[in-house]
Amino acid sequence: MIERNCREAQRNLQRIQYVDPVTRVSRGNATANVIKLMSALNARASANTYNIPALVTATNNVQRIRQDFTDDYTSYEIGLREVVLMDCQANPVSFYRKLTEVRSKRAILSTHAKSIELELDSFSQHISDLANLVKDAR
Amino acid sequence: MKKFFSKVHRRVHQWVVANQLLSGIFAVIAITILLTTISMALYITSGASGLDLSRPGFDASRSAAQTGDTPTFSSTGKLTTKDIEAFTKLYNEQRDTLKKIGSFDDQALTDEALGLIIPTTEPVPGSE
Repeated sequence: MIERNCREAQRNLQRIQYVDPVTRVSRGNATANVIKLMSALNARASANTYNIPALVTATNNVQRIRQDFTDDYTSYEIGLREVVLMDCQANPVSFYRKLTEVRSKRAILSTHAKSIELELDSFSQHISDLANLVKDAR
Repeated sequence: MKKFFSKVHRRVHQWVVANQLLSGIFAVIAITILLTTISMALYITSGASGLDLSRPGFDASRSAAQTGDTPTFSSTGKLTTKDIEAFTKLYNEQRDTLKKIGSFDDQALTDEALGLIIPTTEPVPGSE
């Protein structure tokens, strides 16, 4: 079955290979923009002596996850390239093994994207704490 | 063997002295090939090649990649309720942009999605 259909699978993987860098670059830009905003708010809150450690923690976590995402994307991209270039009809077993590895690597990227969302949710929740502090200080 | 190498060395040395311009050109070409090989190796192993949308075939992708306007929120100055409201608006806009971008859904690599397994339509028992 794999030997018969693997060329078609490789063509589909090649299409994914063209789409993924766009997603990666777009996500990278958008995440960098959010981090820039978060850092600016943290700096301004700190300069005004408002201390909300949860905001700083969420920002640091997003930065850390973004770095992990970058490293894991490189590994995923290299794995995907190898699967596309393999002679799958001659080595169907190693083709499928490699494909399974690429799936796990893609699942890790998906997890990172979800983790970033959770951290951004957490940051959102703590913005209201900061707003309350600012309101009380008036 | 040693004699052979010393003879080759002498011959090469004589040729280089006699053809200085030509040997200079060869040396430049060799250095260029070496440096290009090193930079290509770094380009591929660092993962930069995977993100390079200027590669041939990525013309359409280049325009599809979202760069967006970089939002600005001043990191200095007094912090008021109005500033926090302005920040929240900017922050939510950026989050919406991020949500619209794909998140590497694992469904794209299933056997069915890749065409490794062609789904068969089996008859439902008792339907005949």
